[in-house]
Amino acid sequence: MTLRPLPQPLAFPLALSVAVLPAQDADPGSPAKIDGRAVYLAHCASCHGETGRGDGVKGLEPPPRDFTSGKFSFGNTKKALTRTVEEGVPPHMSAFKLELSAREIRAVVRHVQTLMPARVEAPRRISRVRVGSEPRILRGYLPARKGEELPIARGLAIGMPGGVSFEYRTDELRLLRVFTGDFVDRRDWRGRGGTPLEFLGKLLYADEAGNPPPAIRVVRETESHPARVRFKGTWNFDGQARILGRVLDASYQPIVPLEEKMRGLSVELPEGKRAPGYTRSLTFFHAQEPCTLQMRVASFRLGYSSLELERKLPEHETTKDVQALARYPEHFECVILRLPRGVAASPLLELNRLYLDVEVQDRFPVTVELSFFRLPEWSEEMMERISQKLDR
Amino acid sequence: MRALPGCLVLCALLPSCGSSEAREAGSPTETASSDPAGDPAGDDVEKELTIEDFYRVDFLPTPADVAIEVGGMDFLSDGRLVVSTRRGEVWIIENPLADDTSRVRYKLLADGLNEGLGLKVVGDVIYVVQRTELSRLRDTNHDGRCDGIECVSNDWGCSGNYHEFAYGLPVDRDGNFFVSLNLGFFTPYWYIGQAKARYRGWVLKISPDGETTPFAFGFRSPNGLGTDADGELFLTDNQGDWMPVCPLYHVQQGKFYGHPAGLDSTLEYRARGERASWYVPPNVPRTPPAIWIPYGLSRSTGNMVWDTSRGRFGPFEGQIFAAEVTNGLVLRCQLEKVRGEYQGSAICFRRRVGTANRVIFAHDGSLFCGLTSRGWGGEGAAHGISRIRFTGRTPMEMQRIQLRMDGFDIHFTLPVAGELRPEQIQVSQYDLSYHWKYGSPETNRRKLEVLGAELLDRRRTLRLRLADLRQGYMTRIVLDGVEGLGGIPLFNKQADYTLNQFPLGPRGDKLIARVVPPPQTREQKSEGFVQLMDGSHDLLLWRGKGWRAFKSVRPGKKDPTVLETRKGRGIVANVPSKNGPSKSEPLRFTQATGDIALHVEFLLPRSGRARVALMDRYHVNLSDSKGKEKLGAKDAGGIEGSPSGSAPRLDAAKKHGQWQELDLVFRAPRFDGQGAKTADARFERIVLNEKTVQENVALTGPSASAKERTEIARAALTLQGDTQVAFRSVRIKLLDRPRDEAGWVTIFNGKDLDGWKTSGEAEWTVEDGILRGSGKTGHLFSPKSDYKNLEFRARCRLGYKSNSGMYFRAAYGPGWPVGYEAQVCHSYRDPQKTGSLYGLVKLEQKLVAFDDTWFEQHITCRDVAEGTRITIRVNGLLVVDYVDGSRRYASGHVALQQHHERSVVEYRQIQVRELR
Repeated sequence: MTLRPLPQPLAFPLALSVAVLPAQDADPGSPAKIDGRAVYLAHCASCHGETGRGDGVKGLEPPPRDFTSGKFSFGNTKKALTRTVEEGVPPHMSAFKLELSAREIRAVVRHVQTLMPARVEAPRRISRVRVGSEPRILRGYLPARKGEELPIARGLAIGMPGGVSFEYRTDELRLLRVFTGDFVDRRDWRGRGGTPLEFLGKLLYADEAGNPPPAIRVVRETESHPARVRFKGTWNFDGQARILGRVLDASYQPIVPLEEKMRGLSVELPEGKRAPGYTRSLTFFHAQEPCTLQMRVASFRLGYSSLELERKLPEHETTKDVQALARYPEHFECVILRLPRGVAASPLLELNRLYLDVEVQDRFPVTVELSFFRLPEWSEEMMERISQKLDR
Repeated sequence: MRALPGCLVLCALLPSCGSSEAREAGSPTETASSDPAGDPAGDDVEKELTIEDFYRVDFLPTPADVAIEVGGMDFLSDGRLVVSTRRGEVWIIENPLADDTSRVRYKLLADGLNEGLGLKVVGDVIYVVQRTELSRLRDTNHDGRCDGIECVSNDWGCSGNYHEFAYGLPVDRDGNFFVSLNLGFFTPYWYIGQAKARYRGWVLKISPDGETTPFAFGFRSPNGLGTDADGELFLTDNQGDWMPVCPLYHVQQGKFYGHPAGLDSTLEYRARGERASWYVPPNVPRTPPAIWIPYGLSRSTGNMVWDTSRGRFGPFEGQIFAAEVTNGLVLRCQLEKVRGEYQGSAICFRRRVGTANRVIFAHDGSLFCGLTSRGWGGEGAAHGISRIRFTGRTPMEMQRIQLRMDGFDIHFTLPVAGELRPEQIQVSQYDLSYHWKYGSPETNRRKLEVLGAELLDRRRTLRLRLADLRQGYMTRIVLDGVEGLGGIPLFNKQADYTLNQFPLGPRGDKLIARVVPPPQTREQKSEGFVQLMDGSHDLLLWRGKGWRAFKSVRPGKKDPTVLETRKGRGIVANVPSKNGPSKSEPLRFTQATGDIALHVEFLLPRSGRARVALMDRYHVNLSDSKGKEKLGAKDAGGIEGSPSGSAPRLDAAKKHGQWQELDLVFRAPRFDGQGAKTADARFERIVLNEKTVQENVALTGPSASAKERTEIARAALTLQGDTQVAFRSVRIKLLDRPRDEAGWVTIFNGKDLDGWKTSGEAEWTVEDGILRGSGKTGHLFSPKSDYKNLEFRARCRLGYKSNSGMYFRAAYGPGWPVGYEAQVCHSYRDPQKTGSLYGLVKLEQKLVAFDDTWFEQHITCRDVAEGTRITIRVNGLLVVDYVDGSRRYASGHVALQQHHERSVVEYRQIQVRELR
């Protein structure tokens, strides 16, 4: 009788759960835990020696890896060891991925790790970054977008007190996602590094999936083209996180420096609950010469939203507010643009994207503010409450 | 030959001048090594000296729960040490020089960086190189915490690959920073460095205001940088592909240092849209390193510093001390300028310092080592900081090695005590291989005869005269049992001198890292073969009940005599399905073949028995016979004859449950015109798991158990299993392809495209007789425009995810040519693979196993009564025989396609033979 393979949909989630809980067994058909030492003795010891000192009976030349020295040309992490076992080290060591099962490889890697000197990996309790009373700004790789193979190399994770965090790419000066809850696990503190930051919070807002075009366009009388941007750094003081950048034209000539500040913001709901939100404040400093920048300030899920723009909110002495409301089956998303009076800044709704044309000035800085809330319900009263909140 | 007083001469050439005479030649004081009167250290020599007596190592304590994984170190003007770490933190360490290490204090200045593998303090402003930018740290409110991280430059590419480290951060005299960029690691072998983003494998020069200049290239993992007192840049790389061992380079602007991937970012390559091959050595002049550091000494070198302590660190003023991660040591490099270029020697300095990634001298002359080995592996402490301090007592070391035309002068730190016997001095030369494989062994080793060894300069210098010392070799000098005055032993006995050039005479042109014939890649090994199981359409070319495709197989846990399988593709096994037959038929290849070379990979369960039946008649047995004492014809690699067979020469089999490889060359029997056999079937060679087990075995008839008893010239290959068995990667090469060369016309002259016409935007270039298509979509049409009945063949090679096609009877014009097309495509997403008659006969089977492999496609096209008959052969195997009843195209050019941007296609031997 032969064992039948596990149906795929069942096998996959089980394998996932094993990754999180190594002690748990993957295969319900064979509950016994695989003895890594036995696998090691069967497949590895003849070369690497029973105790892993590289003194196996085969007496190979050059001698195989001495695990007890802790030296591993191909890495000593679980991932690296697994890869070495799977792929081999041509021409000296053959690949085992087809000879051993995934569980056997995991077991033998666990065993090899016990032969090594003390480990140097950062445990999760250390690598999970927490936000205290001040914002945190982390640089790192960001997870690959859907359909992309590689992570985004130039990224920021900004964690605000109160539990809102921002995922931001600096090569385009673009906000990608906003989360609420715990901040980030620095997974790149394990292994060789170079793993993307893992955001731990609950997704509040996401720019469209995939890779939409750059978020800023330069609009001039005769031309309109995606802006080039240059990331200039971050500042973190007075309880505020700031991103600095510079907008350049097509020939890399600077147009205007900009600064973005962000903060988490929530609004009270009738039952004492709070609806999460955030505010971004963008300042364009003295421009080389006045021109219009078109920014994509928000995008909504295609197919779901039924957007309304223009619902004008009460005007203030210095600003005018414009609101866009998107309806989803389960909630509302509300974007409020607070625009300076006397400055030409006009919002535009196109399909599922909200744009803002800002005329940048050479004489004085221009600041626009964008707030976002996710609301379980919507009412005029709620809007009033939000507006008051923004005034504060 | 008479030794001068005060000198020691070893006359290895003269038998009468043996060691006893040499001993006599020494003066009485020189032999009195045990004489305490001559011992500067007094009574201490009575106890065994260790390196600790000369250089002490201590480790700074670190705060709890903090791992200081050092990536960069420098001192502030007030003596505090600044350390950047791989965790992206920057620490200020107070009292780093304190004797009492409990006084050492850590303060976190900054965190949240994306690694910090290089740090520099310039005028008390801290610069850190992160993976993706060079940053300046600011503390504007002076609260001891960094509040601004300004981007000085981020003008380099980073694809997001985990291995794209950025290292630094020395400055030159003008205040420019140097940053080096690691290659990414991708496929086909995971350790192959590739440049998937701009300037990977380069060193960049960055001015204080951020202007970034690409400086030099051809590096792999250039983890260690440093500038000397003149601001000259030096760099260490890590061994791996194209780096036989770790080198120490003197980096000069615009030069190429060896790893081909860096070429991708050069203007020339970018202009041509060219990518460097990962396995063919580039034809670009390489600048050799000043020092190749032998594998035994270093496997992952870190940065280096120059001893400017004026003796406070001992007798090595001006020399280089380099960090070493894997072996957990600090090594010493000593350079001399020979013909204007640096070269010199590498010697171990101090072991057991922890996994030193960075070193720096403190102003008190102590050497600080910053440790880290996470994910890299290394001996000793895996993070933290250690200090090496000179005790003031001079060790016995090879202080300096100076090349002469016929040998070396080895200067010691102390006068040599006692005598030197010939066997104490061993000198050898070796070279290294420059190739795509990971590292290189020391090759072509020669032991050098020591013609003379004189002690000069009051016994502080050993002058070695060597026979046949050659340029372009590493020279290893090992001195055994040498002691300095006072009985101080020579702790580091081995020095390796990189002999790039001699000081005089004609300039040598040999590089120590020789270009060797590149080790065969799997692509090259499979040249000329046709793949009959491709991992996704495994059974398309086979017939036989009871065989199915699986993702993986292995012997069952409960019953290891059967196979346990996982659903999927890639492997063919005769594991019965629930309702299927329990016994499998022979798995028969759909075409008859004669002489072939065959590659098969197979896996047996316990007690498994199977066979490969050439022409369904001549059996090679595959059985679970590992460890059997007496081998017979029935065992793995045995040939079953009639009546007797041929046992394998040796037990090359692997254990059941392991994949095994069988490679063989088979010759079919020969018959004359009347059908009488003129030659027996013959196995030229059978290789099991890379060991030859049979050679030249002829069979007078079919194997005893073969069903087919009549011998014929051609028949189909079958794979058979008495028990369960799994096969994969079956490839054959036809060895009896008819060679009829008459009438072929080579239409591509190998030099230029004279007379050819192009359409579209593809770039067609000719180099070394090879026509190469790249760039955007386009087509290349033959000079002659009215081919009708013809044979058309060419050898082709495709890059990764490339696509091309061989058109015939095609009309010249824009867009996709109108005409027949024989497809050329292996890994591009088009489901019609190489061998397909595009749109008319679709072959989904990948007949050519790998990209970057030359193969031949051969087309015939002829009008017959029923229509236009077209055949296509791939590496000689007939894969299409089709009659186009509607006679779509009557005549036209032959043409070649470059399908899309990023596709690269190469052709050679493009030939046409017109048929009547």
